[in-house]
Amino acid sequence: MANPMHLGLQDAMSPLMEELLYFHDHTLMIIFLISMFVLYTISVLLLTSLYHTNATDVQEMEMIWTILPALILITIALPSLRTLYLMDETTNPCLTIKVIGHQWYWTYEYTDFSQLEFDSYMLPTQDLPQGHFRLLEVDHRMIVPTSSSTRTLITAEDVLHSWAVPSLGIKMDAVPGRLNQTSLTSPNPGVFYGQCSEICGANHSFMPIVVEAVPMQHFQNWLKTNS
Amino acid sequence: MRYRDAYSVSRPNCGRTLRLLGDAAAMSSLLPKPQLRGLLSKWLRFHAVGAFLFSAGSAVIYKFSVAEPRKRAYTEYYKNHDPIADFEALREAGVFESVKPKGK
Repeated sequence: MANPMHLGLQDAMSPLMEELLYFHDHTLMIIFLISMFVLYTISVLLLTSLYHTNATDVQEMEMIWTILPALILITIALPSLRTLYLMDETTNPCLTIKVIGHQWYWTYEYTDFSQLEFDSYMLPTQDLPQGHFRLLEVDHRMIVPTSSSTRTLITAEDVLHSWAVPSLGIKMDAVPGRLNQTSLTSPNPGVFYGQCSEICGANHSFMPIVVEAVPMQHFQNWLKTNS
Repeated sequence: MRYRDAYSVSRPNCGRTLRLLGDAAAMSSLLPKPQLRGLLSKWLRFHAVGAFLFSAGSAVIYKFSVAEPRKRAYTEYYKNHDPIADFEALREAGVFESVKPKGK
């Protein structure tokens, strides 16, 4: 999760987020290349008094500053498309969970094996236990099994919301009247935090998401206890 | 230094001017002729290489100080990663809501 003075993306807790981290590094490297080039050029231009008095026809330069950016864009696009198609691969999920956004809480429905459905509200600061995270904790977390692909179907009941968990590399809009599908896989057990990512009213900042990944055996015990 | 020679004429200041020109001609044979042409192209050649090295260098520095160590860190982490041990440690720490620590 995020730390104080955190720079950059959160640590990856899923293989997809790892791919996104590497792609971000690749693209940021290219951005540094271009930005440093522009910075150097502007700096030395400010410090010289030399100039060309008759620069009217510079076909070679025009070709360079057309072809080079095109090559840079191709260098960015190819890994981008690879990661995009990787994210869209079908995975034969073992579980389907419906996520429904409301103003201002989430509902999780586990209807595969048992009719389990619960709401997830943010824990108010005055009710927060010692050591828990302000504005991030919820009363009922979404529990998923580790190392298994989970299909999440995301929608909304009233206005637009967005279900996002940065450390798992997931962000999907919750649109009323539409089901958006995404796949959730975490090889690591743990607790992963996210927040609503589409402006949805007064308490948009106060409807967090908490995903708890536990081994399959414990997940099944939890299902039995709660259904 | 004042002197008379075949170049001195009787017009006002002409002799002084010609003496100055003579002095300058003598001095210019001692100094090298400064570069008067091609300054911009020389500047462009130098700074084109400089810009390339500066920008490519910053990209290489980012790649080998941030990107490659990150890839190595993830590879090392998953080489000997035991998710069950990880889970047990988190469970005992009381992190989970669905699973209580063994003692409770």
